Amino acid sequence: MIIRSCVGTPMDDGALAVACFSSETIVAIALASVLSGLVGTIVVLRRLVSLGGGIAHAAFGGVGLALALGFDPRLGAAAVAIGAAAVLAPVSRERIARQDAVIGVLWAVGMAVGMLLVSGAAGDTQVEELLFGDLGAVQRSDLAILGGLVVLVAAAIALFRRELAATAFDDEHARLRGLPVGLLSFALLLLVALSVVGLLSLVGIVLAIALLAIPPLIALRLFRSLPAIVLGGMAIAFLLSVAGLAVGQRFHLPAGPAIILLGGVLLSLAQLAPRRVLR
Amino acid sequence: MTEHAPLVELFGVSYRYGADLALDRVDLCVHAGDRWVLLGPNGGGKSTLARLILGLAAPSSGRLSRRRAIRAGYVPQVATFDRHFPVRVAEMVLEGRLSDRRWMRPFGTDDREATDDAIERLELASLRRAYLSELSGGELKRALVARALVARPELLVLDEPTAALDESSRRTLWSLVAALPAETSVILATHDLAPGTFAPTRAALVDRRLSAIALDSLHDHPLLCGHAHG
Repeated sequence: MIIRSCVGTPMDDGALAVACFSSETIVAIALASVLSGLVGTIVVLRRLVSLGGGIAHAAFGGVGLALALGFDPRLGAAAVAIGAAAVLAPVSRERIARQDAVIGVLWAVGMAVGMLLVSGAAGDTQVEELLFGDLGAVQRSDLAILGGLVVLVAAAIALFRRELAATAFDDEHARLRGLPVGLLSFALLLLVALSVVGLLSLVGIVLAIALLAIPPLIALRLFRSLPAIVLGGMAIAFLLSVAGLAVGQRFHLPAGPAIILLGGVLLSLAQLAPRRVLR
Repeated sequence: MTEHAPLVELFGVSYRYGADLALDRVDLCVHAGDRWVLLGPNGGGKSTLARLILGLAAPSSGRLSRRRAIRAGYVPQVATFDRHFPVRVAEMVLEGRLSDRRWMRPFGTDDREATDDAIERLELASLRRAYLSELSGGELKRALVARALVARPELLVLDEPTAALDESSRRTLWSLVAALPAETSVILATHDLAPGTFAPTRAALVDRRLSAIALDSLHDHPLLCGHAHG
């Protein structure tokens, strides 16, 4: 049985046009939103957005390699993303901030490798799908993988929230307290890498980065406590994705760019709001 | 107390930032109960030496030995964390108790009581629910002192702890340090030590090299002009 959820978008004459999505699409958006709130908050607070972008684009190279070698592209993306996280984990936060050029190169090379290999193996259409995703074509197998990933990420954060938060906040003090900061930093980057890969197959590289950055950034503007920022980020990611998808349907635009543009507008509007109005 | 094994020992330790030599062949021994004051000009290497002692930096050359699992408290000269991270004062101070609890277990009543006590002593009670981004420089420094003390440190390293503190807060800080258990080692890195504040048992000048200073002439040292006895 296919269940469809519908939302209204305004038309030129003031009437509401109804946009409908499959239940798979809605569940995919909900799961992606959970990752956005949980992992995106870490990404934004630890200033790992450019690093997350680098991992995503490197993963795109992994997709290309897997397609060229005849593997499941998700495996290629996961292997490269986890490898990038392992290489970058020992690098301190300050050095990561200074090494933006290296991250930029990782970004560009991953992209170039991915585009060459993906277009050669699967054609330009798949390149576009991998860049921007196709939320309308979500399969149940995609949901199973994303659901498993959400459970894994949520469990890791729930079990080790104090240790992860202490490391994310002040890794120097966490080291003084005897916490295994290297391992925890790797765990944080691993969560980012896995989330990027999980989102990659659904919403594409560009939207994966946007979903990990924009909703938590808006939530940081509106909320003060960490739990409120995480939960607010989830809600904002969900509403943003549904609204972007509806606008995309209404104006015959691809969903990915519509969601990103809407997110950009909302983030700009959030900057106008009184700083952190909700404690 | 010096009959016991030292907490930290440095033998000919040098430290470089790239090509710049910050510390040159430093020897230092910290025993339980020592109260060291490390004097020296800005850029002389005091903070680097403090970080080496804490294990937050590794020597470029030489040998450094530390007793395993030292419970350390640290008040850095400049906080390296992001002040806009959504953490309240009480939450940050409570993190000083992290090593006293096993993984995945919540903080206990004793942790929270110790945190409340430290917050009270540092006169931060009205700010316990404030976010770090809302604090002045002096209030943040007091919160860092509270976090260091709540860890019940065996080794307390204070790096220019009175910078940004008003006179009342300075008095509070020195009275808290004086009230620490006798076996607690304290290392104070400062470019300026007023009489009647911190009572060191050992003193050294750090200006890339380390040289001992006699305690009886401490307050007459050229670095401390303006604080002569009397």
